Amino acid sequence: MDEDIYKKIEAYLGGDMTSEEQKQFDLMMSEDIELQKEVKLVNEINHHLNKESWLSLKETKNKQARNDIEDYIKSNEANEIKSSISAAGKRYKKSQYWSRRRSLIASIAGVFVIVLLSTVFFNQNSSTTKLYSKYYTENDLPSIVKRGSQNEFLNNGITAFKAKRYEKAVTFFEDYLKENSDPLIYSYIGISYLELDKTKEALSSFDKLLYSDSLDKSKALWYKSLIYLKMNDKIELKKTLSNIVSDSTNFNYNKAKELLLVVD
Amino acid sequence: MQKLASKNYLEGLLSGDQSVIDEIYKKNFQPVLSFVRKNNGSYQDAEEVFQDALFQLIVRLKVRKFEIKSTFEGYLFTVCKNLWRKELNKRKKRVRNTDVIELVIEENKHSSFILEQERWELFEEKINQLSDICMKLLKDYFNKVSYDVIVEKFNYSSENVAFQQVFKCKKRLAELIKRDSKYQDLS
Repeated sequence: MDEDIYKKIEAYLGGDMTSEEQKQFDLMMSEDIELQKEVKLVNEINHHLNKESWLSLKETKNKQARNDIEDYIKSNEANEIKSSISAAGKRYKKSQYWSRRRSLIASIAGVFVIVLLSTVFFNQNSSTTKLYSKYYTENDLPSIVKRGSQNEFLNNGITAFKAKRYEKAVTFFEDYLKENSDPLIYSYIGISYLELDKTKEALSSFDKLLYSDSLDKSKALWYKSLIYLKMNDKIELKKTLSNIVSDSTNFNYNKAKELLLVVD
Repeated sequence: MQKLASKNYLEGLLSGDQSVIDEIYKKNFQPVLSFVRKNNGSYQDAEEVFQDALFQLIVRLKVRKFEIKSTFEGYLFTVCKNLWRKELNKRKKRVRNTDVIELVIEENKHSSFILEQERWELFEEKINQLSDICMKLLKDYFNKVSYDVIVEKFNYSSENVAFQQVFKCKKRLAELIKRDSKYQDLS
């Protein structure tokens, strides 16, 4: 195949010949079997390389191989294989259907919870209080009793705290701290101030816990979030919650994530 | 490992082992579905292509002395792509001549495609024997990259030189194909 013939073949296959040229080329081919073969091969190569096309084989070609294949396809064995493939297809479709259903239900439920919580949150004060009471639980407070302290101030403080006499509790705790170093007490003082609606004092009390070296210091972040929640200060609330979710070992990491979604 | 996995798959397919066929489905159907959907097909189309490819694989193993040279996953995906390519071409033609209704017998559909796939594999094998430059050049040329871009990319002095290079590469490919005795049975 020389370059000149090749150019003609490409022009012929690409439909770039005038009808006169085409006639001439057809005539040439009819007299030259080698040329016919070249044209055929170039056509096959072009189809192969063009990712969008596919050249079908003439059915008269390679009869023997066709018969062998078709005989096998008609056999029982082939039919059984075909049915087991199609059965697997049905099972797959069914399993996909159910897994899609499950994730759909889960995401609807998720959206529902978020919508519900958002409504609660954005119904401002009264509802913020609800949200606050949903998340606030005394059980989260670090235990200070179990250490069997016999300190009078501390015991009185706890008693007052439990009896919801917060002003008294703060006084006892502060007296206790004058002689003892126990950062955990700041969380009790903080909550007491919060209950007394003295948010500024409450926040500074939790900051003292936060900047201490107590193992429970990440609890301070959680309580600060609750204070901002109660104050309805969304900006500070988000900042503090983001701070919690930056480290999964932080106290109430999951709750903070959940609350963050509601606020956003 | 891969050889072992594909051996298990093939044995499972042949014996109709449910758990094996389920696993083949689970691991391989999703990419085929994405490909077919991206190329104007439906779930049903993808399903048909996938099941035909699996079935034809068995037929080839039984009748055509065939073995998978790449991985099972790679082979299956390539065949599915080609089956879909053929189907799309058929649909395009059908749009052009609406009055021609093609009657294809099931066995016939499989035997034609199996032989066409064998021809495709033969051509691929020969392309891989070309030089790197030829492979890249032919690829660009058929992706309709224009000659002036090819000239720049391959540092040719003119479009005429680029054309001559494409011609040489195609000629070389044609020779490689012609020389293979399998070609006579597949064209």
